[in-house]
Amino acid sequence: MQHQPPAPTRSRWLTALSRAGQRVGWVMSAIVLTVVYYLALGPFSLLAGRWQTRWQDATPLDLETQF
Amino acid sequence: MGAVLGLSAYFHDAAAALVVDGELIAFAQEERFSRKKNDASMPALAAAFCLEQAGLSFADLDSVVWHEKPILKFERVLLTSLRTFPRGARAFRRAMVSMVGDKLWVKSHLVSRFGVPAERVQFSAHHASHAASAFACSPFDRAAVLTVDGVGEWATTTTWTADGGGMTPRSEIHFPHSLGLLYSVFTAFLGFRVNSGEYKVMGLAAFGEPTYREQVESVITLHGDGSFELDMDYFTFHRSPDSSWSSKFEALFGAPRRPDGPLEQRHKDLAASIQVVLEEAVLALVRQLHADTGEEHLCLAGGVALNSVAVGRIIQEGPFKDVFVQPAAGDSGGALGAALLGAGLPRVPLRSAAWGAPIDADEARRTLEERGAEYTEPPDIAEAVAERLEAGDVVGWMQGRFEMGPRALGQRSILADPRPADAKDRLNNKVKFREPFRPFAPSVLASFSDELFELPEDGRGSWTRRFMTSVVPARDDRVQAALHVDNTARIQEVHPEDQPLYARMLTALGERTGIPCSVNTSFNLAGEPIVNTPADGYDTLVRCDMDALAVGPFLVRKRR
Repeated sequence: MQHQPPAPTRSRWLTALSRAGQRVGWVMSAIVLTVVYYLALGPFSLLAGRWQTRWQDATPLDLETQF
Repeated sequence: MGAVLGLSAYFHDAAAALVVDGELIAFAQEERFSRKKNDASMPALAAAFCLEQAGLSFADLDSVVWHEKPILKFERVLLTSLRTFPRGARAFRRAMVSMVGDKLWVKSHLVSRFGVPAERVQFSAHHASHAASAFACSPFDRAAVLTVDGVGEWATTTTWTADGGGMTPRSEIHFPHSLGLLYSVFTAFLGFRVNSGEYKVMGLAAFGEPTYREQVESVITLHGDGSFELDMDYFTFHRSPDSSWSSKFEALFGAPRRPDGPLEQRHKDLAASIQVVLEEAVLALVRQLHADTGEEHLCLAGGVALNSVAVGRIIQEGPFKDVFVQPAAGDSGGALGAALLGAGLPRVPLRSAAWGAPIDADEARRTLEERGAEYTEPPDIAEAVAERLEAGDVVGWMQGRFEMGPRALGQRSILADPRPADAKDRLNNKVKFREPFRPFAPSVLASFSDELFELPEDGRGSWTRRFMTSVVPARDDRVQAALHVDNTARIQEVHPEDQPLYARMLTALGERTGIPCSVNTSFNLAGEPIVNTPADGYDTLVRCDMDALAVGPFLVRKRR
């Protein structure tokens, strides 16, 4: 009997769909982030200041904050 | 004080450390359990191991301390994107996906994944974690502390003073001016992987001459106050996710080496040049810190502190009376410092680095039986291994708890007799499968090390030699397989009171060969983490040309 390749299962279709969704999501996020970067952040770049050089004041020792 | 778990992750070398009632209980890198080299993921396995060591669960913890401050780091990423506008678009996109998609939400990850109450999650700054790990683990009552690495939140270099009352931050140097990142740029330029190939640059440096020193000094300015400044025209790491140097850099240093390309003299000279400039920069920092604080002792941490050649120069030429380098000085050590800070900075002077998972003899026997290994249980495993080493065998050594940090320190080591000249090539070509220019290190009985190596007469640096974090010159070539091309070695001095079994093996080897010294290299193959379990060790034995394995009380001889 001739060997027949297995028919695509639902899970294979779902996997393919999921991959395609991820790809679309990646492209969309790249577009959105590029727009955010150039249009929303760009105007503020002049206010961003310069790199700090030489010795700076130390960050206080604290465990409570995330900043 | 209670129970405090420190965690570090999400960049490289994730780790967990547990401190209970002021005592260090356990510290381990995630990679040892997950078997993924430099594993950066949330260290669930390492944390579970630490808690198991104390018989605790997450619910029993008084706090969980993360090794850095995510929002401060996010601020740096955001401001960097603005300061590099409009050229930082790709870096911005990559950083946002990574940070907003994941790294920014550490607290909720800890809450949802481990059930830690949100109010028990704390955050210590990246370099504070490094500094705490260096001072609290040191033998000094008070000290100056210097941390140097790539970058944490904003800081790339910090200075502190510390004593019984705690740590006081002094000053810091901010991103993008970073010695760690500078060294990493050259690491990538020379064709090695960033965050793991820096050792290779350090090893390669001994084969070259610093003929590019002037050029390197034109990309970094060393100021008179110990601070330094990169000329950012030469770099792109602040605005590109894929490259770290500019066309101007290539115009200065020539074409970069491909990862699989040949190693030319030019590459060796470049390695020598960046190495010597790094050493000068670190020495300048150390001298300034000494002048500013008047402290006699120095504690070091951060990835740059793992540059054992630079540490050797700090000990030899620096102004401090003694130096301590925390053996897990890289980012994994952040977990240790975070736990110690959360616990109120108790002093836990390290006499040994063995804080990982132990070898269980029953598990070892079971593993060997399951794999059909031919093994014996000699009356004294130390004596049996010494006998095999004298016979020319390369032996895997798995005893006790695995060590913290990137170096094997006689808990998970590959050993060989250091006398034969060909031992080094055999280890490189048949066992470790790594580049021939990389050196091996010796473990030597502490009481004998002065016979083989030129040590400072006043005992300076003994704490770094205990943990293999500094380099010293050899007196002769009796242990030539453990010496680098420049006749130096990154030695581990073994103290019988702290590592009795390993010391006994070296003593037995010394009785046979006259030299209680062994080549000691990490028990792993290229690209793999150091072994953890008996199964890891046996499987490694099978896959390389190692001759024997000593796991717990058992000796496995390879079938030939």
